[in-house]
Amino acid sequence: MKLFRYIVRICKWARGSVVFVALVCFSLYMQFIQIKHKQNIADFLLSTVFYLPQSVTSYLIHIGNISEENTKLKKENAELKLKVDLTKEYAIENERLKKLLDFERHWDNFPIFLVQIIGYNPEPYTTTVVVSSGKADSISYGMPVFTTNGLVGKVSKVFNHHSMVQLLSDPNSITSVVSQRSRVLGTVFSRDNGDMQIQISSYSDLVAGDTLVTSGFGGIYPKGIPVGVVSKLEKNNSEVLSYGSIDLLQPIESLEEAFIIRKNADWIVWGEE
Amino acid sequence: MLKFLIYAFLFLIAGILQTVIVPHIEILGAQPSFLLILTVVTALRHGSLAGCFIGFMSGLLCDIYAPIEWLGAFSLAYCAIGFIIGQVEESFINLSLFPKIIVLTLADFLKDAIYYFSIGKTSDDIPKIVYSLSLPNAIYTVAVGTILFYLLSMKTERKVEMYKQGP
Repeated sequence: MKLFRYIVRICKWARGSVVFVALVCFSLYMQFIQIKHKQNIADFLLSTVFYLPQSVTSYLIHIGNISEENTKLKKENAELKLKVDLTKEYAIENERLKKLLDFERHWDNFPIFLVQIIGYNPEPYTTTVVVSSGKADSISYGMPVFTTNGLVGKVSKVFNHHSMVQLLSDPNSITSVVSQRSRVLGTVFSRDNGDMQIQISSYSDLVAGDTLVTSGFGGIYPKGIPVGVVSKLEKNNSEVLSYGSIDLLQPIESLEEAFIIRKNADWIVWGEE
Repeated sequence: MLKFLIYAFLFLIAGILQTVIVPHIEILGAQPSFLLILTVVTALRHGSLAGCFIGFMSGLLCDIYAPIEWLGAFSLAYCAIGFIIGQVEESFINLSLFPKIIVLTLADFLKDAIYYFSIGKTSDDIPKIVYSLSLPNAIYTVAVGTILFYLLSMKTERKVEMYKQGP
């Protein structure tokens, strides 16, 4: 009993050293036991003493991984979206080119040349566009420009590798047209505000909804190219001439490719070239 | 009891910093040891008992993430560091900032020496290990430790001033 009290007193006096010796012994014990026992100790520590730090650490690592994975998936998603968009674009282009091929067969009488629209003039109402071919491709002044939908205009200036196309919406452009249904003649032109108009005889048989095609009388456009549809007609029987509005079959805003027909004008007004 | 809870919380924070944050802030392969800093701070403030206990727990945490065959090596090294520095604290009560940095540096090298000795590295490997691992880690740990020691000393000085001014 006396010895026990003596030991307790020593332990209280040197408790730091006692704890240190105990912990060192435990550390050494852990080092010299078998691997499977070491594994058991590690498992025990992880499930008891270090459960909280381990859980918090795992949670934080998990969050870090989720964030990393999220960034990776976002990138992947953006790439896939881009691919899908490109595929859609290719499908639309494919469809358009197929139509152009059919169109080419339809215009077998004339040599046809496919061009890309590479520029628009920056004015409020587009009156000209720039196409990707010029003198080097045998393009010359006055050649008609079409799409599968209808007439676009004519070549107005030719450079070596590009050309300018005067659109139907240019107020200086006047096109002779004929109604597909009643064969009534008229002229299509553009108001200064960009609205397309048709001028016809007040007594002619033309109604809203009639499709207009080129008459072939102007010397520039061959006969039968669709131009537009009459949207509104205001007939004035007291006047010789009446006017109506038309919607072009080929909207200028959606131009991407066009055809140039290698057909020189039958005649050119003096000084126009 | 409150101190025990505070140190348990600090141990949790140091453990999280060591396992989660440190891999992201390593510089040229060098990593700071927050657990060693905690051990040194505890030993300097509260003596060898607290030092060796916190050191042992820190070492155990490192052991769990180290290869299983070396279980116990880190706990031995950290425990010894905590105890030895606790003795230093008891011998020199008021350590200013510079001696604390020296103590931390020596502690880092001593910890590595005990650890590599425990896992059976020969004296031929030691110079290479010191040059490629211990030295960069010690520099980083001392840099981080200096900042923490400085912040702690400022806090202590403020407390002393408040105590001098009285209620």
